[in-house]
Amino acid sequence: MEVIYTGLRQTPEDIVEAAIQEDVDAIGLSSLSGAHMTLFPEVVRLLRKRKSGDIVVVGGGIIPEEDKAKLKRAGVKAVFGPGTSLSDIVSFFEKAGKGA
Amino acid sequence: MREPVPAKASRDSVRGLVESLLEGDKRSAGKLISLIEDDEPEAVEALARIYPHTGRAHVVGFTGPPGVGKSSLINRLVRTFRSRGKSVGVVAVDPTSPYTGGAVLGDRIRMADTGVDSGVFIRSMATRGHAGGLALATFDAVRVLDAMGSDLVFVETVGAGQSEVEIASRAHTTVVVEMPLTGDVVQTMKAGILEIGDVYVVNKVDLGNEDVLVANLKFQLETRDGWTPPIIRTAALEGRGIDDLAGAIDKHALYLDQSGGRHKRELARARLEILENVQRLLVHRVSEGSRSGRTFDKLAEDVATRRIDPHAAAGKLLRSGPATER
Amino acid sequence: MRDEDERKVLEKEWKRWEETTLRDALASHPERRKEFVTTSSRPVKRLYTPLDLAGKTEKDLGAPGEFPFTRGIHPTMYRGRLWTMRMFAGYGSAEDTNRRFKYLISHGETGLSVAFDMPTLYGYDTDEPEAKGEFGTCGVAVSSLEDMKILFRGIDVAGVSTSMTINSPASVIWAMYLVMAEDRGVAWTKLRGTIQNDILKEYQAQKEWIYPPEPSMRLVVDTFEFGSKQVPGWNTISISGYHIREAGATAAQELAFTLANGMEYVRWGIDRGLKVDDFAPRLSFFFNAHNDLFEELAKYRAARRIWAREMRDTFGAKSPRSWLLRFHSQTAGVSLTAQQPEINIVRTTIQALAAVLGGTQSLHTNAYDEAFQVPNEKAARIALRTQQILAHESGVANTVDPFGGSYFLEALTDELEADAYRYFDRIQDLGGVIPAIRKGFFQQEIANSAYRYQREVEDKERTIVGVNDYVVDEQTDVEPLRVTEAAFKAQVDRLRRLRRTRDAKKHARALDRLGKACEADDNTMPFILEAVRAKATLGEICDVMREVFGVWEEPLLY
Ligand code: B12
Ligand SMILES: Nc1nc2c(ncn2[C@@H]2O[C@H](COP(=O)(O)OP(=O)(O)OP(=O)(O)O)[C@@H](O)[C@H]2O)c(=O)[nH]1
Ligand SMILES: [Mg+2]
Repeated sequence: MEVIYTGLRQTPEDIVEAAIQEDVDAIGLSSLSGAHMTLFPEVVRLLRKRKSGDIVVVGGGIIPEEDKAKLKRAGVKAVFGPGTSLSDIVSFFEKAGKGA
Repeated sequence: MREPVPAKASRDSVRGLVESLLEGDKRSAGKLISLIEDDEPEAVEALARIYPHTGRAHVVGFTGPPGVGKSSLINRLVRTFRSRGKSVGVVAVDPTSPYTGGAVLGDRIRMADTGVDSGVFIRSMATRGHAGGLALATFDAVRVLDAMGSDLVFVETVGAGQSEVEIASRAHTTVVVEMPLTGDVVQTMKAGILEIGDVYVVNKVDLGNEDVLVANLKFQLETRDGWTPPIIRTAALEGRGIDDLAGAIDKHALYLDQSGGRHKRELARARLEILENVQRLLVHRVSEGSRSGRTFDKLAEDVATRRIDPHAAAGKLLRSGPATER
Repeated sequence: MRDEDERKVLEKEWKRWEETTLRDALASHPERRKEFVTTSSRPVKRLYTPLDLAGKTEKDLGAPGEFPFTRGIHPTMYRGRLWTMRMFAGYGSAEDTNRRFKYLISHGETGLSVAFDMPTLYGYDTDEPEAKGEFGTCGVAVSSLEDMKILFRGIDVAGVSTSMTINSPASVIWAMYLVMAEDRGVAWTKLRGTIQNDILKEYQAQKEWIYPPEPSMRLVVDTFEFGSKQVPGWNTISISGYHIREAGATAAQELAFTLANGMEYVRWGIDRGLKVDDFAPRLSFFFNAHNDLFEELAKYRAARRIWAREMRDTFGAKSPRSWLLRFHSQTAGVSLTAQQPEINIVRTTIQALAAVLGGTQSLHTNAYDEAFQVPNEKAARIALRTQQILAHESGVANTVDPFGGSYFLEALTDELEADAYRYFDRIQDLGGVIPAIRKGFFQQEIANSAYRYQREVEDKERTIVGVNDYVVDEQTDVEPLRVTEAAFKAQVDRLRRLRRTRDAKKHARALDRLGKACEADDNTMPFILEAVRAKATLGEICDVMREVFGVWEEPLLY
């Protein structure tokens, strides 16, 4: 598995651009500041606009339970909130990797 | 949600990908480079389709020890060339972690300034096992960016092992980056480094202490085929010396055109790559499970038990199967 | 000579114990593990004895209220006055947070502490594109003087001290507070409070920088200079180890990096031509209160001792007030878990106890819903109650430095002090604090510690209750706290109205003069105040500075 670290404070545009150039299978977004409802769906929207809706978007951070369903409806594949165990995250990606 | 994503390439035909690439589509460029990077069977076809459309870009290789500032310099140069209306591609190679087999491809963040700019394409590649050698895959990726219409393609590799020489033998212009050491140490150049550079950069001059290094380089560098490698002082973070560096690259490109050096380099590279591809094909051929793989295993057994010698075995292997098998 | 003899007797006695009582005990009851370590992975011995204090003199310890203040900065400590109970609070609009302040005061808190939202922390107005989606989620949005006025509406600013967690834009936010007081007719000399204003740890840990280090440091020194003359009751900086620790540093790193930063500010102040005794008494500190009780206590005590010595002996401060390390503390958010959130109350209690036993001047206790959101009302109240129980029921506030003289604690204090000096040397070898930041030294050191700790947890070398052991499978429910769309709209309307109705000429002139002052060497504070009076917004003022100073890019780690 390779991780492309794009640094702090990336805009959705930067993230989508990097994902396309690096031809990634998935984008992992982390937000601890509560801006997930704006930022995560925006990434999904931009990907679709660039005909790259097949790139999987997952997110984590400080995300209230009730937002998870909304994010999934907006096209975010999986959402990991506070206290997620690392093994849950790893097994998600392993499963996704096999499906690909 | 939509269906899970099937294998990367099979969904888009190689032909379709190359067609969109030639129209400048970045997603296709990204996917094609993945085919090459993952050494997928479709890569051969892709490269065959792409090849006729390459040869336009000027390819600049950057090499030097870890952390000297290669990515930072490239970041600045991209901006400089962009402001002159040139489109730029970048391929950055990062060592794969020996511990996890994964890599955190950090070069990209140094180039963050280039952000969303339609005239820039940055791709990170990991050094994990490439059958035909890292350099081959890297420069195949360069071809994709060349075909997409990049005026310049920058290649960054860490100066470790043989990679400098490999870069130098493929790039049109090789930029060797060094930085002054602090303290009272005698700074010695890595063997061979003086022969490969077309341009030498002494970066991080903002930290001082660079005069000795510059003098040292000046003393040792020689004129080859009518070209004397210039030594450029830069401070990448502040953007000092970047215009000089861009100028030196332009000048070297002009020199190659006027001296016939460009064609000479292309020829040398062609020889190299043909041989490398032969090797790659062979490696594939004997890979596990193939028919020749079984022959290979048997030959290995024979050599190990001293029934035949390795030279004879190689000859047998070469004659053993269809060359087209991958 | 007598000491020598005494030592020999002691050594003999403890040797005897080891070879008899201890050996027998170990033979029948082996210990639980080979090595015992603190939260920071520092090895801890089985037993500490008078031998560990050998060579130590009363001078290292001192009496409370006397140099080197190891035992505390006041002779009577909490017998005189309890620490300030200061709850970090802020969410949504200025109105929302004003309500929360009043709630906390009505429940007995004794100082205010403002948490700002992310756009404010990075110097953007609520309606700028960079602020998208971030309004009020992490703190209160303060984009202009109008917001600041609402935030403190109905609160007696001359009677309560106010701390503001703001860094890169600190001088601008402070100017808004000062103008707010001015408009109410409260003299600046009556104001008490703190701006965090600690830019160095931003590059090292929290990462809320705007400008590069040098111009940022200049802005900080501008506030030192201005404050010492015009707002003498104000702490113009709170030199913070908290964020360094929360990012994963060890106790020793927290101690060493914070004090190294502190000394760097002193150097910059002196280089500006300020007299050390004019500004040093207004330097304050901010430390973490983590789980490992004794290690934390040792950290605070070592910090006081080092600071007093360095201020007196290295920087030549004459006034004893310059030698005092006064500090705020906050319990360790990073130790609080999403799993079984109620047990966070227990963790916080232990941590708060450490801060109190360590002689803190003021304290914030985290709420049990820490891992989910900025605290809801009830969670914040319970956290405040934790402090009140410590103050009034536990008895620990009855005497000064109750653990002073403990063999273990004194040995640990010495060890941490020695570690700090080793770090000071390394930082100096790298050319000082700012060059070390450029080289990524602090960032790398912290990352290494964080990584080691995380590994120890993953490998279950460390037990974290409810996380890697004693796990229960239950749905956690904490009552969510939500920022409303209406609050956002009201804030944006207020901003737009301000921009429409202010005197455009006056506004433009003030910003222009500020830009020129930034380019020249003038103290920026008067010009920032003028811009605030002319109704310039936070984002506008920071834009002027971004233009002049540029923005900082982070060095990359390997
Ligand atoms: C440590 C910490 C800090 C440190 C950060 C140091 C550093 N450089 O790392 C410091 C002290 C600097 C800090 C500052 C602030 N913090 Co803080 N901080 C925390 C704290 C205590 C822990 C965060 C953490 O590192 N957790 C460890 C990681 C591993 O967990 P995690 O991020 O939750 O990730 C897990 C999952 O969410 C998931 N996940 C997360 N991302 C992703 C991504 C992918 C792709 C996947 C698959 C999974 C995944 O997997 C992880 C493993 O379980 C949390 C509270 C808490 N206990 O969680 C508050 C918290 C995040 N902070 C908060 C706030 C408000 C702030 C400030 C804004 C305060 C202020 N007003 O000044 C500042 C802003 C700083 C900044 N510039 O961003 C709030 C956020 C509130 C909200 N969103 O509603 C929190 C929740 C505390 C609180 N209750 O108020 N903070
Ligand atoms: N002082 C100074 N630091 C620099 C300069 N150029 C780069 N750096 C810093 O040196 C470090 C390494 O820079 P990079 O550009 O990532 O170097 P690199 O050669 O690409 O590194 P690798 O890809 O890991 O081999 C970063 O922290 C940069 O900020 C410079 O001119 N002066
Ligand atoms: Mg690099």
